[in-house]
Amino acid sequence: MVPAPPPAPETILAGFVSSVEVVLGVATVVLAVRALRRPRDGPREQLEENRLALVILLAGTLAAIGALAWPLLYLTLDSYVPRWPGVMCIQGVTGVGRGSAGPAGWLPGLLTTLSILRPAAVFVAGAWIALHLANRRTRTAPLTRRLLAVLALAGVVSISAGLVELAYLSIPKAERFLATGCCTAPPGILARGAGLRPLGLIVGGEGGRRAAALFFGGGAVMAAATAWFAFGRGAASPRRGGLLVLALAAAGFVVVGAAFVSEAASPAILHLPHHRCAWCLLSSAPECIVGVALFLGAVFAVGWAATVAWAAGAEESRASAAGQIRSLLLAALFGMVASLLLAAIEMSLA
Amino acid sequence: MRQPSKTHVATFGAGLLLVASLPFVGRSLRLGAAPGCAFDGVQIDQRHVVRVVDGSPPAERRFCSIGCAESWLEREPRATRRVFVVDEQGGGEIDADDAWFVRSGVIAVEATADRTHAFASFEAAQRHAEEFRGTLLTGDDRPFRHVH
Repeated sequence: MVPAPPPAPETILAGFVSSVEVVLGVATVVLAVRALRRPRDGPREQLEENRLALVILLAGTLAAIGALAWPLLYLTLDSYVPRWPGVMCIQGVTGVGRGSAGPAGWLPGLLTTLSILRPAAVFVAGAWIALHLANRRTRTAPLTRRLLAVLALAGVVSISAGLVELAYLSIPKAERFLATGCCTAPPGILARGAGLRPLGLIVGGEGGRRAAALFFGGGAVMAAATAWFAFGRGAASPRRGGLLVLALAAAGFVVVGAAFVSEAASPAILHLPHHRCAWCLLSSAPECIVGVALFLGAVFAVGWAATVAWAAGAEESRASAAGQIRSLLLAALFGMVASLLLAAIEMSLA
Repeated sequence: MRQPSKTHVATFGAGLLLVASLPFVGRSLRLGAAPGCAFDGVQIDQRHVVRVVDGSPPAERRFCSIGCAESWLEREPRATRRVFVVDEQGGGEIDADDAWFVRSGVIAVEATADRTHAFASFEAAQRHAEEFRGTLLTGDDRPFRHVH
């Protein structure tokens, strides 16, 4: 039995942030549902009297906490790296507990769930903010009820993310010798996780070039499509169906981006042709974190633009939403072009 | 067709310039950093360094562990090569052909959990194997058997 090491400062901070997130999430859901139960045709003043401002303040704080908790999760995982032999990066930490009996066996599943819930929490909170800004531009606030529904959803996602993270943090990870793995651990040294390249399956065996071609080619198409929606003929009143397709394409493009980072960028930039690990790239070349953030920001911004377009049903809100959608698409265009530029420069310098 | 305003274009361009400068800044900050293992980038502990010399003019690659060097050699097959390991007892560098290897319960390199140890003498290797319940690696188990 290996004694558990004292928790790292990152673990304590992550636990605190997750606890606050759960509490605020519950408060947000309760207040948003209460506000939603009010009469549909009630005047705006009535909702304001019923602490709409408090709900918005709470949700704003929740969004900020969600945005903080996402990178904090990975900082916490990074702080776990020196704990186990054979773990050289976050990729190895994600394999800790795999195949283990007892609560430690849940750790990989909890992390996989968190890797979906954390970005989902940021996305829903961002969608709420985008809707709120569009609603504020109107005279009669016609989006308030939809705003409250998204708010309640943001609360539910945040509660789930906070609870899952608290469970992950509280499960003892040192009570047994755990099965670990890393991205390129030499064969025979580590059993599981070594050489596991799920994204490599998408681009083939030695798929670095294919991943790069897909990323730059697809990225150029995505940027052109975003620019068309922002500046093209339909910019004044964007088509909801078109924006939805763009948002779905952007979401699918995340897989291509991930394959590019691990299969092409990591071996080239680190000058390690057999090492395909996105986490090692981000820790060794931290400027690439900016590229990843810009890329994800672009994908989210397109999604938020589509959400605003679909939520803005009334004539008044549609007019105000067009400006909001355009701003989001401009942000998305910048994020996409900037991440492509950064990736191209990094690859050419490698 | 809506034209972007001058402010938008200027902000967009300035942002792109700022982002474009990041790779150069990052690269300049990493210039003085010690090179890591040629297989996985892990920081090299000189007590366990493995050198692989090949080509003409000779090129040298350094690895953090015996396992990493073996993995790299498997993926980069070439005709002529020389491999040098560090004797764990004396600390001197020896040709891998002359070394004795033991796989034991003692982890040599933490980051890769490599448990293979190199010794210059048979006696030292056997002593380590007995002390730490290890196995002397011979025949097909011996590291770098396919190098030449």
